[in-house]
Amino acid sequence: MPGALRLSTMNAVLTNEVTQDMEVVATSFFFPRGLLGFEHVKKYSLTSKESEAPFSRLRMEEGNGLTLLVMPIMSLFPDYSPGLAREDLEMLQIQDAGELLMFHVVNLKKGRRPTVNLKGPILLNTRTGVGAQVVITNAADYSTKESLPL
Amino acid sequence: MLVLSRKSGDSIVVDGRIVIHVVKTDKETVKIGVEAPREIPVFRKEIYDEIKQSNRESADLTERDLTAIKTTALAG
Repeated sequence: MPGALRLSTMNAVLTNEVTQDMEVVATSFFFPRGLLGFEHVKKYSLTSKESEAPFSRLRMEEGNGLTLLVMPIMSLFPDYSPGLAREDLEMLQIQDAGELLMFHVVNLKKGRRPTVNLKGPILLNTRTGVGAQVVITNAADYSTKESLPL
Repeated sequence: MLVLSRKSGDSIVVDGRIVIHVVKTDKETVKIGVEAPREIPVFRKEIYDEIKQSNRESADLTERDLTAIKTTALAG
């Protein structure tokens, strides 16, 4: 099952540990609620290329086939403390913290300063292949357009 | 838009499966409870709109944008 291959590689890429041996890693996810504004799009692929690290591509595998760029942000924002609602973690069937991957949507439009959305992270359960975009419980403390220190 | 007047304790049913409860009212604020199936997410509208917009802006990306940022980001 291609979707399950090299998960440890994907984890390493998503936690910003890039090594020379890495190739392209692509994994499929199912988002029962889609994304905010794209609720009808349930199927996604996450592609991490070494040449594009620390960014990964979250691509819609139905509908318009749009691609969002995402990245793990904990190394850039070490004090980031998102509140995750119990209902969201239950929906994702997270049994163990090691299953949960979190990353954030970035906006890298040319000519504009790069920003990241800290209010609405993407959560993935790497065990079940289920994902969701959630609103953190302390969304008021963070911005959808936080400057990326790049 | 359907506009209904409700008192504290009253409810509204949507599509037979979403129930909106008026929990409490005071001068400026209404406390509203929403019961919905798990696959239906419910958000405060202003935050929903903000994140929806942010998603759309992020998706409005070309390969050229990505190349530009990679060059900047990965050079340092």
